[in-house]
Amino acid sequence: MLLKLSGRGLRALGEVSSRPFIGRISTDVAQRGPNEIWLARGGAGVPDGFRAYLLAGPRPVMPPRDSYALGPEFSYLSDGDVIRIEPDRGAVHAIYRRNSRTNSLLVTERCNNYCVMCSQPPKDRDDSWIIDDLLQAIPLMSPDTGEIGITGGEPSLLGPRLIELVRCLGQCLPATAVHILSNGRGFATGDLAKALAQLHHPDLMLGIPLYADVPEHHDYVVQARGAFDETIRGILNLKRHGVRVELRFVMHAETYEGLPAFARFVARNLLFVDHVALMGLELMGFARTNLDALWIDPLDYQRELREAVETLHRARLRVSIYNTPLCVLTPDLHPFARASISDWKNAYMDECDGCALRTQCGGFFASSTLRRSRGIARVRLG
Amino acid sequence: MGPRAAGESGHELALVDNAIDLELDLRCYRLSAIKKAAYRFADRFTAVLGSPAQDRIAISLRFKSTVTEVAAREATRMFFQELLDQELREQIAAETDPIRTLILAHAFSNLDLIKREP
Amino acid sequence: MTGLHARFRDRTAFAPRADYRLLPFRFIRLDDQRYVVTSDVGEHVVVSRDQLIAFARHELPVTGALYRELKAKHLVFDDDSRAALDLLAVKYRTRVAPVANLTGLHIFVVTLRCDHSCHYCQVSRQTEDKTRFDMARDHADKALALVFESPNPAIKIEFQGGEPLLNFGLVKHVVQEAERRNAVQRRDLQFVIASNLTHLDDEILNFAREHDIYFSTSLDGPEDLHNANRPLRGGNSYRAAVDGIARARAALGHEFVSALMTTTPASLPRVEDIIDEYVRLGFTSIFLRSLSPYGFAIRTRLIRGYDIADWLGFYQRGLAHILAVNRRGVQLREELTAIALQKMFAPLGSSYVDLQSPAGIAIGALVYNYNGKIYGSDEGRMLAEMGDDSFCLGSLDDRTFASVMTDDALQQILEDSLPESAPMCADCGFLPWCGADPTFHRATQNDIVGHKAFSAFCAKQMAVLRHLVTLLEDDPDARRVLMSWV
Repeated sequence: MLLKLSGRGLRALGEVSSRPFIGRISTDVAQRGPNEIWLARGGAGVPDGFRAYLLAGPRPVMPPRDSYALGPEFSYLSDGDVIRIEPDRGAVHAIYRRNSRTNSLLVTERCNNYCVMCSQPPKDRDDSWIIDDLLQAIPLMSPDTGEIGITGGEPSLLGPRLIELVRCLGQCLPATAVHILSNGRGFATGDLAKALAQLHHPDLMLGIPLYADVPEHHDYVVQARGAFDETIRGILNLKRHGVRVELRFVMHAETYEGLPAFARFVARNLLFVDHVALMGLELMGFARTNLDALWIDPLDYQRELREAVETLHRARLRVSIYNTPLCVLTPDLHPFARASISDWKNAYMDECDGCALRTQCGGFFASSTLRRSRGIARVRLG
Repeated sequence: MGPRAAGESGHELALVDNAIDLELDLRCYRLSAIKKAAYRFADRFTAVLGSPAQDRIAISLRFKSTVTEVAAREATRMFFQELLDQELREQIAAETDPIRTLILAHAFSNLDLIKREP
Repeated sequence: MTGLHARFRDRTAFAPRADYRLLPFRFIRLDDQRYVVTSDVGEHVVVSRDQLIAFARHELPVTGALYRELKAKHLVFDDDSRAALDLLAVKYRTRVAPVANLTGLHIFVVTLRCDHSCHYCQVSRQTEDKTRFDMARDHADKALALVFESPNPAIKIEFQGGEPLLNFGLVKHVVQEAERRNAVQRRDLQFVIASNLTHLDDEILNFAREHDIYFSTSLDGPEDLHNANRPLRGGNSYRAAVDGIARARAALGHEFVSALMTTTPASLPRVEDIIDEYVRLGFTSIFLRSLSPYGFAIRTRLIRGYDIADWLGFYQRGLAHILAVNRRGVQLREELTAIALQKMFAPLGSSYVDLQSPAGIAIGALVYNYNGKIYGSDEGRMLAEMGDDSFCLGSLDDRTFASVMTDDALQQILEDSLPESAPMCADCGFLPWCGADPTFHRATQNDIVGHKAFSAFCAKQMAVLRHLVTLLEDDPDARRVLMSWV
């Protein structure tokens, strides 16, 4: 299932608000309220008392204020989803989908790293409005939500506002796991790590990328001199204060040779981290810009990957392989592979039809068609 | 550099009365390195050190009476290797001791070694 | 290689600047060509002499592979990064933190009586006189009080002898009483009985099953060798051990039984047989132990029957055989090797009390002897049986845990025997992987530090570590197996 999360899918049917607003999708008249957005698929009448109206069916005779015809590409929207509407552009953005197990909140597009394979290239502009929006959106999300991801850009650049956001998540969604993707540098000095720890969030994990055992290689990958030191200090600080940390290593042509040394380094120096994720490359953003320099067929780094997994596993670290279909991994690595790709960008190939491993397999990024591993094949048992 | 009697300078090391006498240049090997190397070889010979005179020190390697000339020479050769190693160790220690102290201070500044009173 | 898009900088923009600084390290000759370089926290690199000199003289190219390895293992740092100092500080702390837990292993010598008359035994007596050689219940209770005064969250109580099953009543009492205390204390509590298994019966097995008690037995090899080493009056020690192992496994579970062997002169030519016997009996671990210089082994001059070079030959052949066994797919690890590897590769090091720094005496293990005396190690009480009571830490009648730990004589032993301050040890490249053995040196040189040039302990450590590093460097197949033991 590939979804379009943002787009100009709205056509105003009458008078509209002048400013963007946030609301929750509802199809239940009883739910009416100032933050609810009525979604009608059929021709039923339009109830009053909603913030806005998304109409997939015929146009009513007298459309209320903020009524929009909804394009078919957004037909996946359903009860409980939280969206942002920009009336002047006719744009809609799905911030949160209730039925998805992978909801990620992008909190800023600014970043102090400039990773050569960044799938979400940073933009250096003031986007502090995003967090205001999210603070409005979070109370509308379902307390049953399993996990919320926080991504960027670099969330720690938000400083105290990040703390505010996590506090809001802890208060509104106390049963929801929160996973923050951060380069960790913002936690190297000052009190940010302590402030985060003092929230005592019941289920918080920071995913921090680390690409080498020595500064020069890590700093090259993230294109920032001094980044390794700050990331390491950030990790130490977070763990010192009791915040859970996951290390993330993206495997590509510029990093794979260092995998075994990276694993030995982690097993020796950072044994206290809570999880290590070794991740296949997503061919988006800068990974496309640098495609020829970064692409390596996963088949060609299996030896390094296996050695790294062995080292980490032996050190009793939790280790996972992400973003890699089972058919390109050697069988002894299958137990470490996780289905990790967000549903809205997850895809399968023709070979996957009838594959014996299909149900256990994480499949592909939709972007994977750009380069194809020689190993992709239908697996038959026996 | 090196001892006057060392094999590499062309002289033969002579075993006389179960001893090989050497003279070492203190500009090549500091005294602490010579003493430590001699201690390490205590199972093979007893090193008797003279008093340093200018940049030189006499040292007599006294072997057991059962030693052969070949074995004594080999032990002396190994002793010179050890001298080089030991001199390097002294150099490294002098260079790295301050930073070791710094790291240890950093490591234990906040550590409560005895967690509970027994 | 295709380069990155022009807006990205290439690797050279992130290369370290030309100079670097040394971090504390030690080195030792590995063989004619190579040296082992170790950091204070036990990470190592093997280099040639030229490389060592270039490294120490700040002449290594900072973009080379060796520089990267030295930097990753925190043997050097440069102006671009101080992370090494932070990480080293954490590693120092990690290594010493377990010391603060204090005593985890508590050995109860519940009787000295034994039905075996092993040639190498350090302590046991063949007698029916229960009063003289059995531990009194009162002493056992006092010892238990002491055990639970230790702050260690994991407590292991080991019953030794003699043959502890000859005083099973007291074993039961100690187990029940320890569990009663632990109902409040909630420590991770484990029991082990070191036994020859001759006296195993259903009552004992049922009790062991109810209380998750482990058995550690002696198995010296094939039947003829075992029985020659371990004479049992009117019986067959080997049969008793093998039957006992089978019964205990059936009653308790396979992993509840382990075995230890001792190397005698008769064992020397037969290491392969001994190992095969362990494999045949389904053990996954074997400990190729050399004789200790205590007890009957000394008195009977057995220890003069072979020297350390003989034992090393035995060990090296044994290890080669064990590695071959592993390559056949049978899992078997050698414990002495595993302890060394643990020290080389695990941040926490090994918890084996005989190879600790500071020495494991008292702070690693306490021994409560049958007569109420307290010792800092099992070897300490063996030395006492030979008339040297220098490792006695007083009596259960008048000691608390705190008074034992703060004992002046103990503090002195621990401090004096620290390898960091011992001649030869202080700058030995193997120091981070080694330990102090004051009891051994007291027994052999009448001095707790000892002159290491004359020390069989030192000779053995050096040879074992050199052998292991050589295997790790030169034999990829061996390396694969060895690393799986860490």
